[in-house]
Amino acid sequence: MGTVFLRIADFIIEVRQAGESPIKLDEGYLPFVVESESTEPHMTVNSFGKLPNEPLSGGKLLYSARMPEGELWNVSLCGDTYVFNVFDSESPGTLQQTCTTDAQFRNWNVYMASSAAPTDPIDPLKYPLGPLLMYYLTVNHEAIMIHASGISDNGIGRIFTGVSGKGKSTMARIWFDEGADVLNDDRLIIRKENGGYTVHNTPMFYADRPRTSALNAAYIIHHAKENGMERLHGATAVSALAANCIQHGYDRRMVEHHLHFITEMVSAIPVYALGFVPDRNVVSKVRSYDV
Amino acid sequence: MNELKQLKARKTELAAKQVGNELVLVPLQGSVADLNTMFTLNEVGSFIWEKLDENESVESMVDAVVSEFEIDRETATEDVTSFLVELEGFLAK
Repeated sequence: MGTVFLRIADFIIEVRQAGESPIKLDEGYLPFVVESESTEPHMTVNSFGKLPNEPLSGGKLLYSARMPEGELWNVSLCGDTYVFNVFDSESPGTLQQTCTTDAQFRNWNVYMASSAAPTDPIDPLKYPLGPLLMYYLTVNHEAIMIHASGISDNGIGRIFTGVSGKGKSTMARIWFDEGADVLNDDRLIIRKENGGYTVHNTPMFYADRPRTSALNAAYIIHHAKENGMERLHGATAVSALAANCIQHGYDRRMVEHHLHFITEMVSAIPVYALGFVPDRNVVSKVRSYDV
Repeated sequence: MNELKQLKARKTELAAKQVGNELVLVPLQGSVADLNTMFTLNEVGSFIWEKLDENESVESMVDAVVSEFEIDRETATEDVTSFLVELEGFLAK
């Protein structure tokens, strides 16, 4: 591929071949490829097959994202330019990409750190950079990215959120068995669009088509001995949802963006604490609360 | 007493969002937010937080709470004291 356009959560990302290396995206992104867009992209990614001749170093380290295995990525501020170093998730400490972007996180240069031949295809969005770019799409728009499973239940959009192990995938499977469309069981983008809220899937490591639904209710889930629901309001609802947002809040601006978005969302979308037993009975319990 | 002065100085360590009459506080450690460790303040706590810039003593804050909520001084003193204890505990985490 040369230049590619992706439509993710109704955002347009232009992935542009900027050097000799053609672009070869991971299969999870291919269903999101769209025809050339006439509208201005929300984000442009210029892809280079090798690191720049002049090393991008110095600057002030703002944040380092660390996993138990090692550093996943870091970001520094060099003058007005943000510099990201992204490491191979399967080989901690091995630089995978170096990226530069402006303060609006709109125009990115992605330099691959591989030693491949110049004409070998490259995947500039190789994990974890792809989800990272999607996150930066949300911080400049009325949108958030959240750890949640999402379903469309006869047109009623519901998200189930909680930390790992609270039952997001289990809940998605239960609803699937009851005939609902599953948007995704792990990571979603929520947008405020046309006066309402919509929920979208994002590219994963496996191929799935873009899926979207109106968002009508959010549930903070946990496993319980019996099914029980309680409506959350105000600061309690905001805190519960915000805790499950994907956030790299090294910048107060981003934190305030998340809190503002969620506060508005909670005023429009009911939020419930939902303790559940993993069987079909939770479906009728949830539906009984629909207004 | 200088508890209020100390808290006022630490306001920059937190991001705050008003939600109705309540307030959500998010700690920023080295400017990195921890959305898993949030703190919510009720209406009185939210009022005290907002008035930290104007009141440097517990006494003047109690006066402000009495005036705003039309409650007796003893109750206001309890509210301000418990606010200080809870917030200092939160910030000490």
